Amino acid sequence: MTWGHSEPLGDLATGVAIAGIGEAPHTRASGRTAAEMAAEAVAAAIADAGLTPADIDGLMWHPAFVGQLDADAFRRHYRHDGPLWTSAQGGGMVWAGTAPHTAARALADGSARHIVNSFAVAWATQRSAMEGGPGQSHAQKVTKRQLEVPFGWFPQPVYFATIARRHMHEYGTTVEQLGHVAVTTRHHATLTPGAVMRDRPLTLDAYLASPPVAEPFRKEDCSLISDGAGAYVMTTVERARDLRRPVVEVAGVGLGTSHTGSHWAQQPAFTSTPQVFAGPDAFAMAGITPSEVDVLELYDPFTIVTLMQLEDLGFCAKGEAGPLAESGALRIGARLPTNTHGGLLSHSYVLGIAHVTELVRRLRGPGAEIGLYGGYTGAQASTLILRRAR
Amino acid sequence: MIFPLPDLDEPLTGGFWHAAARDLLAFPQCASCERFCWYPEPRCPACGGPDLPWTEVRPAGTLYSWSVVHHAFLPAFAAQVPFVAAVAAIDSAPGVRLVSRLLGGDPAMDAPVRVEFGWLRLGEDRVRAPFLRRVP
Repeated sequence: MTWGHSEPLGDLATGVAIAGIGEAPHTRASGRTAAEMAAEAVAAAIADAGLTPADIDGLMWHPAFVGQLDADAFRRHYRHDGPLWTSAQGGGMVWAGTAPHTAARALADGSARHIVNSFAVAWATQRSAMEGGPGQSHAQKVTKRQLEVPFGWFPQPVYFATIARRHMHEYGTTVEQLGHVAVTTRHHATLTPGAVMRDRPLTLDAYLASPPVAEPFRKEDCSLISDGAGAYVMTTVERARDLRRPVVEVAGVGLGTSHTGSHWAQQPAFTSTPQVFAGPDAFAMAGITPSEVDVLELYDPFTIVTLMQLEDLGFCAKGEAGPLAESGALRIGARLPTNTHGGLLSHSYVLGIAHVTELVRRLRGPGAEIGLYGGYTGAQASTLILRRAR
Repeated sequence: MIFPLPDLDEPLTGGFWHAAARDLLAFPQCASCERFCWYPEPRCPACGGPDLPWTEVRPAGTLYSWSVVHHAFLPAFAAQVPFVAAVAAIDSAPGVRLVSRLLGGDPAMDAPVRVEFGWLRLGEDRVRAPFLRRVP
């Protein structure tokens, strides 16, 4: 019995482009609310596309997180009383990858012309009040609260440390190889204006000398906790050609689901992600192979998740991502530049939305024509392939 | 804040803890297709069968993976770190992985372990629970 499946998304209903990107500052605890950061990111994305708020007639967000820019908040903020197509299947994580596919239907049938997707989080600010945060939704799940938390198998750093340990056993992955992911990702953050860890370079020696949090993980194997927000504007490729930015179009989208959901302990393929199911669909839709991808932004809550996604998406054989990281291939300028802004590990923990804005930024510039975002919630993974239009 | 002791009255998972209170290890097993269904669900995910009695199994398994946890992610764990959070495959319940702690240290991949009952404690409260220990 297989452990997951790909969701049959079908072809894009129409050509979709990401025409504008925007962000609120990504920071440690800022005292700001998610709502105000979301509005700032959305305003920046609309301006980046060369549009005005009145041009926006479609809105995507995810209701599972507090303070998102939902329809009511959007209308209030912009005193917008025109027609508004809405979808609660937007936001970050997996949905930052699938939102363009959802949006294509609305763009194709005339429900909307310009759709903005946004995600914001204020977990750094909330942490002092012990509210929110990445562990909360897991602790609220009855099976985890009753069968895992009592033994201390909680929260995510412990889950993924356990997965990493098994990966090390099955494939010979080493602590040094995990360290190479942390060091490379940090290096990229030091090159990125606005990255939370921009002024904190990391060497492999310093990584190895730092104390374990949950073995084999050190603090540097784990994502930051951040405040921040990001947004992007979608429209048809045709319309995007009339806007002010180079056209970055959606080439392929895939979505995979694990049958054991986010119960990682019970997932038969313990050291894999549902990218195994999402990736092939996205590559088929795009009509390309992994070897044609120039830049990767992979949802990286932990170093091991970067490695597993590289393998599961076919950028190397299963078990070979550790040596790949060690070879330097993931660095900017090398074969597979990965998490070029510093990822969740060193740029900010804004749950993938900044991965997508970074990917668009890379594809607008020289040197990269095809890029891939790997979205992940645990229960699901999404693959979004973007391409600079000719 | 999260209260880390289990609630024995939780309908979905109570059977696990009621068995542990008698020093027994039990998992839901589908009465129709005999598959162990773990974690518990209202119906068997394989055949849809609604009858999933808690079935006692031999308290022996194989260590599948673990993490030595140094950081107390919850205040309740502050007095317990470092501990070995562990996942074990249960020999006589195919497909079932038990999340617990390894007692006595010396974790090793795929090592045989036995299930040993002890107390999970929080302040004055305690709950009988299955732990893991390597077979000498």
